[in-house]
Amino acid sequence: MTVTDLSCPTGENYAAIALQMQETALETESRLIGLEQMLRAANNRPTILQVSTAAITGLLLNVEGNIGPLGGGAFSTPFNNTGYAGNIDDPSQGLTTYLGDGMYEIGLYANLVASGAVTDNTYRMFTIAIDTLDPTVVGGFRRRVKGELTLYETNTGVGTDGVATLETRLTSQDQIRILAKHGNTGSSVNASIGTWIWISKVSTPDAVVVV
Amino acid sequence: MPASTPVYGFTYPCPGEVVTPAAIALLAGQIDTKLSDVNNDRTAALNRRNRDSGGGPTQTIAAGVETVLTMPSSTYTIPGGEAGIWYVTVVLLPLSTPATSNMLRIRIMQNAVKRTAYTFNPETNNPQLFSCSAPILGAAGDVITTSFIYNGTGTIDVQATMTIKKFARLA
Repeated sequence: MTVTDLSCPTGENYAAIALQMQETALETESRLIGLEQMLRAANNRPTILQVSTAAITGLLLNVEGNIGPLGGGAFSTPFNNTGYAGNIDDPSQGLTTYLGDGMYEIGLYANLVASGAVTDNTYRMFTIAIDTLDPTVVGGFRRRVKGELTLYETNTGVGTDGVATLETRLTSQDQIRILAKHGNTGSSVNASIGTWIWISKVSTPDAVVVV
Repeated sequence: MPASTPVYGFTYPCPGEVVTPAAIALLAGQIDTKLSDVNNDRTAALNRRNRDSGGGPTQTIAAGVETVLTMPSSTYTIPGGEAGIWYVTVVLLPLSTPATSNMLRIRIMQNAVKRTAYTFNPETNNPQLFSCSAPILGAAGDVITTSFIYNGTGTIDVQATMTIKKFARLA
């Protein structure tokens, strides 16, 4: 039945007006709910923003260090419309299982500051890495893809700010890593308070078309 | 006593009640309002807010002074009714070479508060185009701006472009 099939009460069935209104109300609601949910899903891409509420300290020379919540950093979640309750980079919480297979945009911003002596012109690397199950190693993972930015310390007292982004397909076998690395020989490096990480689902995999 | 549908609360009379014109008008109005809501959702889904603005006019920046760029392409005000997550990318284009320079930095600001930044090291005094992105959790009327600073001597001419797309809304 379509909306145009709804019959109009006449003088012969006046008593049916109340029933007709009930039917109209229920029928209209049932038809609109699905449409509204679909449109709201299109308008509200699953998105999570997290920001560190304390500095992450002690990044060692030439060692990839975790600057996300997984590394023990304190993070708050200013926005999350997904219902997922864990951190973006926490494999035990199963973000990619919860949000489902699909295309995602992932981002990282950090300000890396030497904890002591600054070594001029040394590199600062900002990395979003995706590790996936390695079928050749029991329980093992291998790096599948990463978005990375390398900058060089200016030694002007402001540290090094950088943004790394990555757009990739994620499956339930993938884990997100939020990493930083540096070549500051003078001291270890800290990620200042206010490190942002974010993820937003762009589409489900069936919408990914290769032309 | 009228009953109502479980989700939207469309009101209808129960059998045995006197059906008044007001009851019919109420139901029609409720359905009309909901259809209008759904239509707004449809419009938003089909017309996701985006902006990509060209650079210019050129702005001249003094060394060591954190300066909010004033060119229209470096700023954006979130429109009314458009609260949500906005993804902002700023591209900074140096158009001159100062006498010396060893640091250039842009910051994406929301209501004058830093969200993200990018620090560029032009060690050989060779400023290059670079970009910075940020997700902005913004309310209607929030002003997104770009600030720029460089460390060196002399002045530098710059332009900036800001690309914005809406990720998600709050309701």
